Amino acid sequence: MLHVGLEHFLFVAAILFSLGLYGIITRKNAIMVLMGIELVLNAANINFVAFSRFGNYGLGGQIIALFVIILAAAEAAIALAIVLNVYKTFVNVNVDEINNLKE
Amino acid sequence: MVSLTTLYEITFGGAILAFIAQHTIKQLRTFIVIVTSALGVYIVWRLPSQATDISFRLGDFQILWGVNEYSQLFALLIAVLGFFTLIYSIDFMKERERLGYFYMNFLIVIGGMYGIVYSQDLISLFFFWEIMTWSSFMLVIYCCDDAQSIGLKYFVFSAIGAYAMLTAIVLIWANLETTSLSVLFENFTNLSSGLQITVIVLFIVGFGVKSAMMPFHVWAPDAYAISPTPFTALFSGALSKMGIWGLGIVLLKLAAQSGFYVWVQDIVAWIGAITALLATFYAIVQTDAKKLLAYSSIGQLGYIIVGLAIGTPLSIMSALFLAMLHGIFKAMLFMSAGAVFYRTGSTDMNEVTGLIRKMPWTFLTALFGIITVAGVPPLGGFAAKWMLYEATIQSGHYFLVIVLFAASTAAFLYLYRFIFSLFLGQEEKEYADIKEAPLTMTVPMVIMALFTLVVGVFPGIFINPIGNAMGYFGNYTFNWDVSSLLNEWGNHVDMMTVVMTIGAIFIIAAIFITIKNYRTTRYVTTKDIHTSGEIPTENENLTYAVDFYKPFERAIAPVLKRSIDKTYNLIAENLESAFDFLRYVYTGNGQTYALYVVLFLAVLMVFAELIFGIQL
Repeated sequence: MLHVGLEHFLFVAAILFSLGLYGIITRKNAIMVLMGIELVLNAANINFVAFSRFGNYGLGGQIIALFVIILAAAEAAIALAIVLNVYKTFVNVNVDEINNLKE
Repeated sequence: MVSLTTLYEITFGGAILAFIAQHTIKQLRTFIVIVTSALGVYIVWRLPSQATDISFRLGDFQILWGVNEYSQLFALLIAVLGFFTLIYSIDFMKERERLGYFYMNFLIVIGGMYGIVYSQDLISLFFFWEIMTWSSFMLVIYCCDDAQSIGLKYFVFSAIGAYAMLTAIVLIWANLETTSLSVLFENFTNLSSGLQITVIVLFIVGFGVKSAMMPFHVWAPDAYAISPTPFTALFSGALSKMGIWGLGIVLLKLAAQSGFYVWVQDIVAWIGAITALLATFYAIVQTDAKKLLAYSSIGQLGYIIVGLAIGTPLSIMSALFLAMLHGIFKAMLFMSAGAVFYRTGSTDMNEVTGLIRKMPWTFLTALFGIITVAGVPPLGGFAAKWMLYEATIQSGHYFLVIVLFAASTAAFLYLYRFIFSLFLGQEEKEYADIKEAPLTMTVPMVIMALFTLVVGVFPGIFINPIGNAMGYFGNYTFNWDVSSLLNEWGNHVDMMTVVMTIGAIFIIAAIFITIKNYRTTRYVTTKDIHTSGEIPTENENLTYAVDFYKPFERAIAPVLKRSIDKTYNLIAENLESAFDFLRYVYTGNGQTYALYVVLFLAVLMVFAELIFGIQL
């Protein structure tokens, strides 16, 4: 019987984080970038909960994970609103083409 | 009621009131400005008899304001010049916009300069120095197209100077734990010799920028040329003297105590002499009258620096004499150039010509101004130059004398060009209806012109207060007569006789020429000439002043080619291309930045143990 320990959770979180990072860095579509950010945040959440469960830190990790989830929801709402407005103005949401604010 | 605080309150309060008045009751503005500057003159005049030193604490720093004879000399120059230039500005600036801004900054500059000369500690010196720099920067960018880039140049150099000064102040605070000037003078030798020379060099850079010393002069010609003329007169006349004021303190109070004094003296004196010579060359090739005067101003400041650097009593006397006199005659010259600009709309010497019959008083001022600059006997410049040459020879700087003399002789060329091309020569049709400048402009000019004559006859009226001021640097005793100059060989020049003789010669020559040529004199215009039988067209520029000194320009072309301005531009360009690689780093793409963040975190994790000693 496989014993699921801290390392497994950390391993999953690391994979999730890497996937999210890959999404942030390589995807052109702003929505894909946002999804990447969600993955990174979820990876962090898993780390928090895992350390809290195995590391004998009480419930602090779970509470912070809840906070992060709320934050992520708020961030997603605002970011998606921006993306929608960007789409209305430019008719695409590719982050490498929308650089009018760069100058 | 006469005290330093009232002086500051009135000057800075007047600045704010003038700004408010411009936006509420416009008629009050001129009144406020004139009354403020006149009260400034009165208070500065009465200060030495009644003022008590003011001191209070600001955090860790003791702030000290006080009056001494040395600061009094400069404060009087500031007050009088400020008053005259403000009267001059009434009509000159009448048609311009944003007058509230102009007058507010003008009065703040004056207040800042009072603050500098009356501050007895380094913190308030730096504070007022920055006030002066900021408000003069505001006036440099007041008008015209390329004012922004010129103002930027002025500001960058001022900032270099200010930070050099700040570094020196911090070094002094760190090592002596004092900001008071008098404590610094007493304990300066307690510093290590390396620190001494560092502090001296930093201060010389700081003050040298404002006094347009040679490697730091590049801001001056453009800034003088573009700022509104009433301010230019104050800028060149009084503001540049703040650098001289500081250099005097650094050279004669600090450097004189250190072991490097001989080196500092020689190097600064040579920098001053080279400044004088090169600035004179540049002045000769200018075609714009204000730029010519700006370069002339740099050259004259070079003489003053030489005088301060040599450091014998006579040379200090000549430097301060020239500093005071330069304030007056350069204000006169800028004002007369400004009067020409006011009437003709141009100070281009290739365009404006033959104004002598239209603007006689302006011509008179310009004539007195150039005679004073040239150092020809009847006017005050003679006494100053005489003392400077004698001091330089006396202290054994023979090569320096040759350079100074070359510069002074070459100065005749540009001075002649200035007065000839604007006032003499043939008349131009388009300037046929020019009238003399209004009274508010001619009266201050002519008063100052007469004053240079008075100084020429009675140099004592300058020499006595300057002698008192030199008490600040040590116990020098002078027994000068009011109207004669002495030299070390026991000869003395009786100025009355000199002035009378030259005056008589001048009047007889004028009468003779007038009588002889009275019937044959004919006034011609620029087009009234024969060019090989062809009639010149209307748009041909036949002003006599075009290519005035072509052969001379060709002769000094190699000197002019290596302008220091170009060197600075080259450095700037190279820096720009060196930092070009940053554009590859900062692509402006958010995803790249995200990558950098992660890479930085990875690097931190790898080297965490090395950097922070954390075991992962």
